[in-house]
This record gives sequence, C-alpha cells and structure tokens, in this order.
Amino acid sequence: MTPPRAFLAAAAPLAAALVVAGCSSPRTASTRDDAGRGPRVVVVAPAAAEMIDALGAGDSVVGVGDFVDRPARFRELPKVGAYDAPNVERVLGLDADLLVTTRSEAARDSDTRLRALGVEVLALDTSTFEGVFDALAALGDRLGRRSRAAELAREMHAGLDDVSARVVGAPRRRVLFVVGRDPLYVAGPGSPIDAMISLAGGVNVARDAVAPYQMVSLEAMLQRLPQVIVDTSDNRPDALRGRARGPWGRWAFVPAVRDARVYFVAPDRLVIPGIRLPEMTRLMGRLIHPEVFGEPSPGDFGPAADGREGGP
Amino acid sequence: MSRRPPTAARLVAVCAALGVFLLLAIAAAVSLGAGPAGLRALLPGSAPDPVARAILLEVRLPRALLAAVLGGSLAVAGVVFQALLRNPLADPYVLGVSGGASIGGALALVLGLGAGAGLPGTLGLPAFAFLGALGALVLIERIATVDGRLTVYTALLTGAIFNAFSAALIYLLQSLASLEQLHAIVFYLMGRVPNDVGMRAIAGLGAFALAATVLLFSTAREFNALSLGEDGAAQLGVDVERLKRRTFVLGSLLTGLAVAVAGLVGFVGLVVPHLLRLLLGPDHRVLLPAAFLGGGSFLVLADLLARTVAPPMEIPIGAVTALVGGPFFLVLLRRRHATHGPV
Repeated sequence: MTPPRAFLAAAAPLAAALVVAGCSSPRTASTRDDAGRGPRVVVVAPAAAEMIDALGAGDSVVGVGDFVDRPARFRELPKVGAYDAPNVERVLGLDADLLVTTRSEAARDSDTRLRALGVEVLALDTSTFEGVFDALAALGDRLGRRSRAAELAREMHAGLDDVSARVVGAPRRRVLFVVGRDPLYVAGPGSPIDAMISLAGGVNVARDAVAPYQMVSLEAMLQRLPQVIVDTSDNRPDALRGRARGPWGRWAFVPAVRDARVYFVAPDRLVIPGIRLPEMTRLMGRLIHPEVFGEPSPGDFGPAADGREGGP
Repeated sequence: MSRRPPTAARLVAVCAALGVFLLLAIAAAVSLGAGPAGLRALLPGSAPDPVARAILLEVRLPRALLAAVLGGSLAVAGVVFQALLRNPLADPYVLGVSGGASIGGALALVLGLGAGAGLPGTLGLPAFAFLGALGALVLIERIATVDGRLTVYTALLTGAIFNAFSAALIYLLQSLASLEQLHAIVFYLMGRVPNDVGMRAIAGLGAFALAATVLLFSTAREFNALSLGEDGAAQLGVDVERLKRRTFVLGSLLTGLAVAVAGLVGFVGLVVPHLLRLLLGPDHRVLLPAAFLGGGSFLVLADLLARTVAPPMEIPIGAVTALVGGPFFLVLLRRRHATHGPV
C-alpha cells in the first residue's frame, strides 16, 4: 500500500504547521503514533543527517545509515546499512515513519518496498549547490522547521556571498582538484567543487570534463599547469595531510608543485556537500587565495570536527 | 623442425620488425597525447619548451615503457600457458595466480596500504598482490601435484575454482570496505597502467620480465614438442615434469608481477599470442620473443588510445584492449580461414 503521493504533498506542509504550533503528530504515512512525538526518522544520507541536526530535529532520528558519522551522537544510533541499500527489516524494526535518503537508482528497490510498507521516503539530491538548498527546504518542510531552514539558507547564502566578494579583483588561479589519484579522478563542471572553486576565485583546470566527477588523463591536467593542487584522494586516518608535495613532487614543472601549493585535505572537508558549504568554500578560498583569506592552518586539513563548525 | 634452418634468420627478422614496431609505438605514445606537446619539443634546434619536454619525458615516456613491460609479460605468460595447457582459451589469468594477486591487492586496499605517503603507500599494494600471487602459485602447485607429477588438468581446474573462490573473497572484502576503499578495489581490478611508478621500478620490472622471457625462450623447442602431448614430448626426450614446473612458475611470476602493478588488464595475454600465431605460425622459438615485443606494442598503443580518444578524459585500458583487440582479432581470424582453412 503506497501512500498516495498527492496526499503526502498536501499533508506535509499542514503537518509541519501543526508541529510548529506545538501540536501532535506530523505523521502522514502512518498512524501508529499517539504519544505526541515527532516522526521517527531514519537517515541514511550523511549530508541530510547534518541538515537534520542543524534544523534542531536531531532528537527525531532513531536510526542512521552506515556512512553517517556526523554529528557524533548519531554514531551511537542503530545502523540500517548503506545509503543505497538500507536494510528494510531494520528500518521497520525501528518503527520508523520517515526514511531520509539520497536520490539514487540503486536504492529504488528498497525505497519502493519501504513505501509499500508504509514508511515515507524522502529522497534528496544534495549533489549540487541548488540541490543542497532544495534538500534543506524539503527537510525543513517535512520536519516542521521551515523558518529554521529558511534562516539556515540565508546564513549559507550570506557566507558564500562573503567568500566571492572577497576574491573580486584577485587573480583567478588554475586549480586541479583531485578526488582519486589512481586512476586520476577529478571534479568537473556540475560538481559542487567546481562551483566552490569559481566562488573562491579559481578556475577548475578540468572545466571541459563532461561529468561532475570524471576519470581524466594525468598529462592533460598537468599540461594545463595548475597553480594549486588540492588532493582529497586519501580518506584514511593516517593519510598525508596539509601542505606537502607528496607523490606530486615528481612533476616539478607544474607551478603548484614548484611553488609548494599542493594541499592534502580530508575529503569530508571539501567533497561532501551539505550544510557546511560556506565553510567549505571559505577553506577553498584559503587554499586558492591565502593572501586574501590567510594561510590555511594545520587544523584545516584533517577530517572535519564533529557537528557543525563555526557559523558565518 | 630441422628442415627449416632459417629459423635463426626468421627469428632475427621477426624480432627486428617487431622491435622497430615497439619503438614506433613508444615514440607515438610519447609524441601524442591529450595536449599539444609533441615530439618536436625534443628535437635539437627547436625552441626550448620545458613543459612540453617534461610532459614527454616525465609523464608519457615512463607510462609507455611500463605499458610495454606489462604487455610483454602478459603476452609471454599467455603463450606459455597456452602451450602448457594445450588449450587455446588459456590466458595468464587461468591458473589462479590472478585470483591470488587480486585478493592480496584488495586486502592491501582494505587494510589501507594502497594509497598515501611513504613506503607502505607506494609498495604496499604491489607487494601484497605479489605475495597473493605467490601464495596461489604454491597452493595450486601442491594441489595439482599427484604422485610427484604436476597434472595440468588438475591445475586448470584448481585454478578456475581458486579464481571463483578469490572472487567470492573479494566480494566479502568489498562489503567490509568503506566507500573509498570499494572504489579503489573496483579500479584496481579493472586494470590500469599506473601513473606513479618511477623509472627505476620500471627498469627493475623490465629486467625481470626480460629474464623470465629469456628463460622460457631457452625451452622454446620443448614447447614445440609439447604440442604432441606430454607422452609425445617425453618420447622426444623432453623432461616434461621439469618443463611443466618451470613454465608454471615463470609464467605465474610474470602474471603475478603484472597484476600486482596494473591490476587485471584483460585480453592482452589471450589475444596477442593467438594473433602472433596466426601471423607467424606455431614455432615457439619465434613466438616467444615475438610475444614479448608484440604484447608490449599492443598495450602501449591501447594505453595511447585510452589517453587520447576523448581528452581530457581517460578511459579504462581494459575497455580499449577488448573493444579494439576483439574485432581486430576476429577479422584476422576470418581472413586466415578464407585463405588457409580453419586453424
């Protein structure tokens, strides 16, 4: 029994309004709840987990996906599997009303089953700047935190505008942003990384790639003589971090290598878009224009700290 | 065989021709690429262009040389395994060595040895993969040895089952891996010519591949005899047991090293030996050196295509070897049938 989508669409804002007014259940898909609490949420999308926390709705989360590790307290919650294949039985076992997930083809099967079993599925696309803001609004609507969501969005826009305002007139530096080194994977146009590079006063040397993330030839990238290389290919706790040449040291003819502008950064600092976009863009600014934003500090390179870091 | 004394002359002619072809392939791989840098940058008298020079000599040349070594190793392993197993479908991966190497490589990636700084970062994955290959080699040799004799049939079956077992183990490792590790394993198994192998390592690999090829070449006559079957070869005075063991070990070492460095680059070890047999006939005295040079050329050109077909993108080399090599081989096979009847 799939809950009629039109009904959901109509009922969600109403339910949200009820919560804002301090009333009881925003439940739309299920009527099991009668204790006056909010929806029981399982979130498998890491970006959405951070958004729910920032919206102040963290208490409604009863289960998380395996890849959700922020905020830290979510890590203690029951795990339901990967974002592309949540374990249907475990989600049901948590008596969840709402599954917040990433929009993905791979998850279609489990999403369909969960919907049929009466669990509302909110699939968010946070792979672009617009997607992040849309997802924030959708979560705000669904969780009855509309005004908080709008406030967060305003703060985020202000933070992004601040970064781009400060690099007006600064030279646009060529940036190679490495997502994987072997084989070489870079962020192309359409990725939030590409957008962040532009906002922070850089030019992505992979701007002619056709996909947001693409396998490219090393020589093609080196030949464009990047002035800054950001390498986020290594996610291990003991990975090389900070300003160093590392394996790029072999290519001494590349300006970024010659001028020691190669940075090794934990991927969650820059790669996974979400509520921290302004913070990420500011870090991108420090890497591309240290003369404007100040040299990055050692703390900028490791995995992001728990929870949301400093507002704008 | 003795009716054809010009074998030495043929060998020289084939080696010279394929050697020149390999050099041309490497020259093409160095001079063509994703960007405008061309061979002219290296010519004396041209305006010095340090960037183009570096692209050619530091980026393209090592990669072309590595591709040549890998392609040569895999093609030689393919030739000797096809001879050993007397099975046209045999390739370097059929005897389970690749399975062992894949397990080793995937394990290194899950343990976090496959990337990053320092010695474990650069050597961890190839070392683990090579140990995996050696482990598989020893295991399969033990199982396939019955009454002191290496039974080829059992080795083939054991290899096939070991490869299936490895695949299962790798699925298990993948399910335990993080998302990044999962990607790394998938790319590793897909096969690629790595960018970050230094010249000294390439020289070492090349020396090893050449030595193994020379050792195998020294028994080329015995491979020819083996086409009569093990009993037939024994009647011609071949120490079949010794030949089988040597071939198994050397072929596996060549394969293990190639997989350790480049992952599972498919098709080279299957098609190049057949291609050369179609062109040059079945004499292993010519076939073995030809496989080294021809396999090298094939992989150099495949890698060149992978880099240049749609710049700045690069496509996986395994896709090129199969997509280009497959149809080319079939066309040649049909032509051959048309003129000579079924081979």
